[in-house]
Amino acid sequence: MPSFDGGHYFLTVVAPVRPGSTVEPFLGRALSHQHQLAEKLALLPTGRQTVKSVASEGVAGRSPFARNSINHLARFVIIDNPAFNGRSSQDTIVSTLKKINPLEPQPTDGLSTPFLLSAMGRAGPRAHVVGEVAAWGVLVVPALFGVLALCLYGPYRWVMRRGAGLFPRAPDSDLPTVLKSLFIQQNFTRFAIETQGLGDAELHDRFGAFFDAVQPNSPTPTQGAGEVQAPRMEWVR
Amino acid sequence: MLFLSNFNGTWDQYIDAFADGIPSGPDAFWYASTKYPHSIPISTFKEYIRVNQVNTSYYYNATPGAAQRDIKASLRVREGVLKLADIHARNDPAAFAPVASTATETADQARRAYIARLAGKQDIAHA
Repeated sequence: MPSFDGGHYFLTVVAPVRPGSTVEPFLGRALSHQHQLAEKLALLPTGRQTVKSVASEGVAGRSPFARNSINHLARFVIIDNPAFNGRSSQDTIVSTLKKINPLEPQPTDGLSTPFLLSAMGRAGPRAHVVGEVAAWGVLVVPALFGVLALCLYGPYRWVMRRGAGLFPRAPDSDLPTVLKSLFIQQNFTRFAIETQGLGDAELHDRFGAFFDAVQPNSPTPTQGAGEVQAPRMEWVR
Repeated sequence: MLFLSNFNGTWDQYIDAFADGIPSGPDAFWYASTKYPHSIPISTFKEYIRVNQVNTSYYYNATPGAAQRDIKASLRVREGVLKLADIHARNDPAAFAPVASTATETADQARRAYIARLAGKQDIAHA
């Protein structure tokens, strides 16, 4: 189910996990599809959570979500079954009068199969986001045409016109700008520390060197997606 | 009813924030849920969530270590650096130099009359 909030795009998908199992060709052991899925998710590299994190060493070890510049957050959850919260207790007198046998089990909710929930928060250039909405539109538009036969053309046009526009996104909230800002902040902190007490002319020159190295107006250099720390830049001192 | 969200902080802090800040909100969310105990008292509320929650199998955050406020702060720093770059481009080191805060000076000016009045009273008392 996709939804928008201030130009950010949230995608939530709940997909059933295939029941049954497969037999491994080498060891000959049986593994359920759910178990294999859980193993895959456990082995999927995350972002670099700490500076010492080894899970993110090298490009091959980085999260697949770090390869694009529109994913802010991503989550996968295997929903096995809803929890059983116990039986509902009843008023003794009422249940006696209604001749309800407390020994008979009450109905419980259950899923026919495990489900994989994936939820993502994304923001990026308008074309990316609208492109994905267009893909969903392939499913939604035919249904809307069915409804159109029953509805007036005017309200339909009004709804479509209102639905076509995106809410404005917060300024500079796209991921590349956020990562660049974190990169500038960390390097500027070092710059501010080392330039304490410098004279006017020297400070002016040092900022020029800092600006050339960090390039705040340029998309690169920057902090990588899924990285906890920005690359340390060096400038002429 | 499926509820999921992203939060900077611990599990307990998150649930506390719910129960302390918007107790009616969770009660509306879980209105139709079996045996939902309401968000207050919080101990049974937390117990209910613990029993019903499903752990996340995989989580990715593009900016680990930087919470929402950190990101907003970094956006302000970027904006400030870009303003500094504009001033730097004028090639006037004196104009680029930081100006010391005048807050203390302004405060001294503001209470000068009070200090003078107090000093006058003390002079009379000691006379």
